[in-house]
Amino acid sequence: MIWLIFLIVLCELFAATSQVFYKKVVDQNGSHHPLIYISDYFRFAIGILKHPLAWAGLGFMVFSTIFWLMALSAGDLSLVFPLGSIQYVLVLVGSKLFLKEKIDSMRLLGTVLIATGIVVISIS
Amino acid sequence: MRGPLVTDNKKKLTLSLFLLIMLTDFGESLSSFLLKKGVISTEIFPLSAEHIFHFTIVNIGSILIWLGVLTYFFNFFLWMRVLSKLDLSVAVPIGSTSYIMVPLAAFLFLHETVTPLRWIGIFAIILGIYFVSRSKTANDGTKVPEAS
Repeated sequence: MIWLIFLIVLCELFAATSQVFYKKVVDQNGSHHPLIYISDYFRFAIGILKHPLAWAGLGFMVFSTIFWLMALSAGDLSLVFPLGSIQYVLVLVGSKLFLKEKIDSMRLLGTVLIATGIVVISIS
Repeated sequence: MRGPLVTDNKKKLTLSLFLLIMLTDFGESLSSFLLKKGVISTEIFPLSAEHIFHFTIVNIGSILIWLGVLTYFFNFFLWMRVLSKLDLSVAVPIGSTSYIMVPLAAFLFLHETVTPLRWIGIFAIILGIYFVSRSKTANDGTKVPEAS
């Protein structure tokens, strides 16, 4: 039971880490430029693939998925799915700490509502 | 003295970005579906090189697996495009639309009953998405005073 919770927390922590890495990648290589020509699309994709953090993020995502599948096969689904919504909280903390995003009360309230809604849906 | 109008559209949630997020949600479900449909399970526990090799050989020829991987890869770039335009703390919560689309589709098209508790959850998520989309970002087109 305890180790199952630990596994899910680790899974969501890895998923959130991977998201923070992805965001760092697109922030650093100017990926927001408009995509008009085919060459723009290629430049966008190659710019991402050349960034080491993109690969680190994918690696974290792979492990997160493995942990998730392990949790699903080992545990009670009515515990695993609701606990999965801690990812939203972790992403919020990661965005604040590592990406210096401004989290106002609207965003905080909205994210908490979404996480709560997911818990309610998965236990009902 | 007023500074320049910051028209950095990097941070604004537009309808097309919202639809793009829903598309990535759908792509994620599609890729899991293809992988799940395509995978032929073999014994991989206890983990050993031999077991993993056997698993790889059995599955490497599956078209469904390759379609799933391709979908995943394509979806990854779509998601990166979303992230290049929005704050992470906006994009991730709004990416929860799949939690409401599945029960809503089941209700609308398969006439499955949705329990009252589930309706409450759906409503909470919709309200949450609305709040997140209305939240302020550092650069959302407002005028900022110029640093002397």
